[in-house]
Amino acid sequence: MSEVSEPLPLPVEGPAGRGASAPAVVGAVGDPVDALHEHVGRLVLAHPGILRLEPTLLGALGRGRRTGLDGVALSVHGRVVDLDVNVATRNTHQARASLIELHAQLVDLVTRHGFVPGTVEISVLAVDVGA
Amino acid sequence: MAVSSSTQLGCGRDIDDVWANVDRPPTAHEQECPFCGPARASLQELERATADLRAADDVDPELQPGPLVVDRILEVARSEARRSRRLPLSKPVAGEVTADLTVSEQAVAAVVRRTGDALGGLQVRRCSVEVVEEPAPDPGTSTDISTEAARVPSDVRVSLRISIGPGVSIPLLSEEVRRAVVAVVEREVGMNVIGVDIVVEDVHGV
Repeated sequence: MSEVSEPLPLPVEGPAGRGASAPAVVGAVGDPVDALHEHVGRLVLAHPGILRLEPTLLGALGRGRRTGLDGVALSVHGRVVDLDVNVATRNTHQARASLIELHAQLVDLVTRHGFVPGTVEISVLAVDVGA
Repeated sequence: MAVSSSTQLGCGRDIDDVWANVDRPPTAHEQECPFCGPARASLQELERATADLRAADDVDPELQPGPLVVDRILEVARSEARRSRRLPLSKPVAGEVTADLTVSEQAVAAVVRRTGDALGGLQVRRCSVEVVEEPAPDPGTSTDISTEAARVPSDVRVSLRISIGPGVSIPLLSEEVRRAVVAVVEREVGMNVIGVDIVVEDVHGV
């Protein structure tokens, strides 16, 4: 399970902040796909309605574990990026509302990294009691 | 040098079709065809070679997964099996093949179970959740699908099999359970419960 001890200052705003004026992500070190993968994981975990990423069988077998973030699978076809994210949500937040917000933020994040968003799938695998 | 990416043999047959049949006796065409026959022989040789490599890998100690890896995979596999089906959180729109936002049936069932158990006087033994499908909208219908937020929550029907304590009024308890299930699934998951079917299958504590 991934743990993020320090929130990343993500260059991501809510859905209302989406648009052409949003700044591109710059200064990422190393592989751009790895950088996107890590940002996706941190963005998901930073959402107040998300309790944790949920590991999957495919993740355990190595798919989508480029940066050790089990629960986030990312595949790239040319410039198109498909995302598959599995999470546990907090029961204090409505899962559907959280995922709608996250979906918009992830599409935005992929765009800011210079990729074209393909399918962005998010699955709730558990709704747990969480502070 | 240019390399052809075509997988079509001179007879017009695709080599993948030959490969698909390589474990079975040759067809009449393969026995006669000057293209399929040699292709089949080559593929059989390839299959023998890869089988030898797989057999060698099976006994190579450096390629054996450690006990921690095996435990981890089994843990996740068991978890995957428990999570069951994924249900769409929003109603489908015309032309949609898969839903972007889903919740596992088990996650919803766990929410229902937790709520039922908290009511007291009953034990939830089984819970299943079914999405109530509607006829697909007319593809010509103008629907704003540009954002997930513009879409409508899925309708679901929850089925419960419960055991109740002695002296409990089944009609009253059933009504209380229905209200609680509808409320909690809307509040914590965001789905629209259009029906709660309850079967009292036992009385416990007598």
